[in-house]
Order: sequence, then C-alpha cells, then structure tokens
Amino acid sequence: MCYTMPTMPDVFTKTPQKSETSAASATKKNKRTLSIMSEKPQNPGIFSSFTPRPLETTFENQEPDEVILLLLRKHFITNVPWVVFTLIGLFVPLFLNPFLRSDMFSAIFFIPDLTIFILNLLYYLVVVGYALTQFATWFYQIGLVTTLRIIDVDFNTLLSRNVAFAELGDIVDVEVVQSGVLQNFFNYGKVEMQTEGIKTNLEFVAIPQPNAVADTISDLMREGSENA
Amino acid sequence: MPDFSLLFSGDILAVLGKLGVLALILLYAIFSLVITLQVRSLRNIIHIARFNFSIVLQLLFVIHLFLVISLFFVALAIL
Repeated sequence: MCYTMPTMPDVFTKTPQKSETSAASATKKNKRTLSIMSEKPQNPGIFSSFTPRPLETTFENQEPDEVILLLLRKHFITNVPWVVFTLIGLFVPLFLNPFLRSDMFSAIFFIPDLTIFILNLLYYLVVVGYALTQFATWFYQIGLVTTLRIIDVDFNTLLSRNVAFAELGDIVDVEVVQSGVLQNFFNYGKVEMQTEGIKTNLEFVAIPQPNAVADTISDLMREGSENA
Repeated sequence: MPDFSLLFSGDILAVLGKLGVLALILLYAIFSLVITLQVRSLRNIIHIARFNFSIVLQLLFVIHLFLVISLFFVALAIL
C-alpha cells in the first residue's frame, strides 16, 4: 500500500523581488552616500562661494585625518549692497565739494581749500577701508563640511568672530530655507542644522546650492549612523 | 620738520579746525591699525596652499594703513 504524504498548501512564500530590492537600495544608498566624493576636486577661487572637495586647503584646528568636503561662503550676490554703496560713495565729493566751497556755506563756516583737499583724501581712504573690511568679512565668513564635523565661522564685524563646531553625529536634523525672489533666482539660502540636546544649532546663511549642501550633510549623517 | 607754529596762526576756530582734522586722521589711523592687526590674526582661518589670497588681503590693509599714516604727516605739514 502506497501512501503519499499530502503537501501543505503554500500560505506564504518569500518573493524573490525583495532581495533584488534590498540590493538595489543598498547600491542606491552607496551611490547617495558617495555623491560628494564623486565630485571632482577643485581649486577654490578668490570669489568662490561653493567649492566641493577643495584642493590644498586647510583650516585652523584641522584633525590629521579630517578632509574638507565642502568650502562654503555667502553667495557673492550678497556683496552687491556694499559694492553699490562704495561706488556711490566715490562720487559724493563731486557733489559735496562745490557746496563746501559755495558762498552760502562759506558765510556760515569757511573751510580752506587745503583742508577740503585733505578731508577729501581722508574720505576716499575711509571708503576704501570700508570696502576692504566688507570684502574681508565676506572672505573669512566660511562654512566647512568635513568628514568629521561641521564648522561655521561667523563675523558680526571684523573684530567680532564666532566659531561653532558640531560633530556629524550630534546633528539630528537639516533644514533648507529659501525665501524671496532673489534667493530662488540665484539659488542661495539658509541651511539650518539642529543638534541634539542643549548643544548650539548651526546655520549656514545665504550659501549657494543649499539643497546640495543639505544632501551632503544628510548623506554624511546617514553614513555615520550606518557605521556606528 | 613741519612748522608747528602754523598750527597756532589765525583765529581760534581755524586752529581748532586744523586740530580737528588731524585728530580725525589720527583716530582713523588707530582704527585702521586695529583692523589690520585683526586681519593678520584671521589669516589661518582658511589656508589655500596654491594661492593664499589672505596674504594679498593683508598687504592691501597694510598699504591702506600706510596711506592713512602718510596722510596724517602730510596734513601736519601743510595745514
């Protein structure tokens, strides 16, 4: 007598697509994580605001194994107000000098021509000094994204500096804020990074390509949590 | 050597005016010196080996300071 064991009906089978999906997502994940590394290293120019993988660039307190992935400054368009102000300032003496030399003004307060000449020279030196100070403030106000941390160097004035550091592992949220016509047209905005607990939050203000910067930081955060 | 007696010629208002201009230039020279020293201390914030523009910026500030100090002595001489 031959007895055939009845086969159990299939209730659940593991679909083969899942392994393909996980493999694809792992590949996609790897591609996302390494997106900044696929950027060609560049020499940072004098006026550059967004430099991925800057060549031959170091900064104060850099760790031996720390590599700069992004060098950021405010978008160059943010310099337009002081440039315009400086250009207007250069023409002010052309209108002011005739007034100072006029009979109407001389009757109230006479200023000798030599004094007006010296004051003009001083005025132009002040205007040049103002322009240099504004440029230096823009030049040194940098944001750095490295393999280990985020660094934000802020200047209220050239005499007042605020440097903030945040380890990549301390950052819990990254937000991009782009508002207004100018910011959307020239593609610059603010990237806010929230850190855990009572640690200082960081923000990069008016930086170009803020979405790319946020993506990079998110990728680094993800890579850090995967390696942890 | 400038003739300092020129500073004391004319009426008191003219003298005060000349002193005021010299004081203004001197004040701005001190401010420029402070800014120049501050820029010097900032040069290590970011260092680019290929072309370190920080040195050029420092030089510009130094030239600016030199011009302000020169203006002070020129004003001292001719006013």
